[in-house]
Amino acid sequence: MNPDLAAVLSALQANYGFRQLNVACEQPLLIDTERGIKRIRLWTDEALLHLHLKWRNHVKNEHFFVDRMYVTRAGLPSVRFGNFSMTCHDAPMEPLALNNNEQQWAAFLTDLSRTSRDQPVDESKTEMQIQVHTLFEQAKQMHELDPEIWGIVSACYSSACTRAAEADRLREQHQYRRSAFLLPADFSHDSCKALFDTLFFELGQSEPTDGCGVLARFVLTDALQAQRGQSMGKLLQELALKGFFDRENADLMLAEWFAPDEWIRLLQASLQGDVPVDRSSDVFRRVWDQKIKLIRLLENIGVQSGRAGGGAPSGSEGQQLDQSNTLLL
Amino acid sequence: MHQVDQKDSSWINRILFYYDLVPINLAAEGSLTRVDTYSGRFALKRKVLNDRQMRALQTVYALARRLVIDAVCPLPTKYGDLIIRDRETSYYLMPWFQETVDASNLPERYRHLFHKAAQLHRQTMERKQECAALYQAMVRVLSQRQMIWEHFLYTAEHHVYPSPFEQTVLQSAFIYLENMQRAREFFSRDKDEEGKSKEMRRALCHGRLTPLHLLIENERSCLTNFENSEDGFFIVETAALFEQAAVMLEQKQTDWRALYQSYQSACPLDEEERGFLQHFLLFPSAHANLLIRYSQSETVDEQWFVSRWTRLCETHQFMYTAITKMMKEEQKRKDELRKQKEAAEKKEADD
Repeated sequence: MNPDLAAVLSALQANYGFRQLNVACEQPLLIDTERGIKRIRLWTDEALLHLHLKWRNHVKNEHFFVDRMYVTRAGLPSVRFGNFSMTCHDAPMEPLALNNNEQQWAAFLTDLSRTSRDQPVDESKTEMQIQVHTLFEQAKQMHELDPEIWGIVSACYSSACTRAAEADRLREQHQYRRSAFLLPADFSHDSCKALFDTLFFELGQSEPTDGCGVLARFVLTDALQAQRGQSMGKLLQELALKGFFDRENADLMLAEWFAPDEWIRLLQASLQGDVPVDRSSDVFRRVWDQKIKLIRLLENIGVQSGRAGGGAPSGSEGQQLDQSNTLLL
Repeated sequence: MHQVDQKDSSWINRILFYYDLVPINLAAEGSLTRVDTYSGRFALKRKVLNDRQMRALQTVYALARRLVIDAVCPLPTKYGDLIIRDRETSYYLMPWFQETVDASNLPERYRHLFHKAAQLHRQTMERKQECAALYQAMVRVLSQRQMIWEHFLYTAEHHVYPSPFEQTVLQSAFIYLENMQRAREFFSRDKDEEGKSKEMRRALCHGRLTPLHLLIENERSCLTNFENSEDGFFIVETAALFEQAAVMLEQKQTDWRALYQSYQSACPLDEEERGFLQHFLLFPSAHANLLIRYSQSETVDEQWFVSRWTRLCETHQFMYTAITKMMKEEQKRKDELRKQKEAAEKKEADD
């Protein structure tokens, strides 16, 4: 047995009231006890641990379970262990599929958007519009770009600029907010498990990040998978019904989809010349189209946002979206 | 006791998850759910609690954990919480007590209750504090009771033919009116002979001392339901307990001397507290409440009211006499001891 693991087990036995301890998995560290499987987390960053303790205390509520820290026999939420701190958590195994559980997910995310709030993080982003413009000008100076990629990039430049401007404008409206919805950076399907017909949320141990951005990317990634697209539509509808989309959440999620990151990534990848042309352009097309579909979907649901013109995509901006979509489809 | 159905067991499972417990059997018993698990038997309580009540439970739990007091308190969850909040309702788990004294056996329950109340007060006793505000509050309560009596007597005296109940009350009225006047004189003196504000000891008070909030298993008994506990002048709670027992217990079965001694042995009262107790019992609330009830009843069962009144008066008189006698005996013993001591000191000085 790994000596470190032996020490962990010994510390667990000494500090928590477990009688039986067997290692069920080493990575991640899962311990089989007489009270079920427990997840052991090691923390090197004490400040992050305190932040997570505080975060879980804010988030805990009666509607869903959270992977809170077990208290030791002395009533402490962690055990000091060499240069680490060690915490013990529940580790339910059954994932809570999004499909057919959209209502439960939406209720959870809505609750979370009200309780998981703190000072905004990661707000010092460079303006998207400047980024798009600078990158395009930079690419123009180089003559070694793949002609196919350059064709796509230059055809979408105008749309990318419009979208970047819209993303900047939407974000700017909430630039000076005091508190923001936060989600762990690694939020995914695996973060939610099913336990006694209740959702179990694994907050994990990653840094808190802008929740709307994380959620928008989560929805986008899922929507890109053909079999999950419908489920995402239902989730957005349920979120709207539950009241998740206040002005701030709607604006920031739309901003994430408006932001032409895929255009920037495609151009950066081709400038570096390390991505196969076929694959990168294909990914770009799918992401670009999916984002537009999601923006339309959100607006069709009737979500009120701070978009110029608001409501369904119409007028110059709506046409711009339609054109860019048609162009690539 | 009845088995808990599937629907109810779903929320119970969710609550028990906070304790890492898996139920083998669930049974509803009154306001509790008895939970049998491989780790033992527990009582799950479901109650609406406000923030103040939660803080009270936390205070008592901290004291019980440090073995300062002997109480059945909520067990902490695996996350260290004492109480689980679910929308408006709160839940907590306690160890199960297999009660050996039936809820209807009031004399036995009160015997334990007086002793446990005294232990609670003694073990959480604090320094003396000014009690002028308490005395003033007592005067206000007394005035309200006097008003109830005066209103009742005024109405009864103006009836050409007073009802049997009114006649019975009128017969004993002068004693109670005189008693209330004595109590008023006592509580109006919130300063001592030197003009300083009177002081009394404070302690943790249970807030709802009743035989139902006491669990008895063989020789062990513990107070429970500390939601309404708070720090205060404990003599008020003691006096209210005597008053409550006088209403609940049958006169013939009650050994008031034993109850008083039981309290006094665990938590000896000082002179000021004894005076407080003696005068508090001079204006019982049960009598005033019965007068209000009679005045407000539309259809009156005269016989019931008369017998109730007679029983209340008899028990109250019996209790008051027994306690006062005990106090006098105590005082006499103390005086004798003091005299003996003084005589011994004098003799030593002469020698």
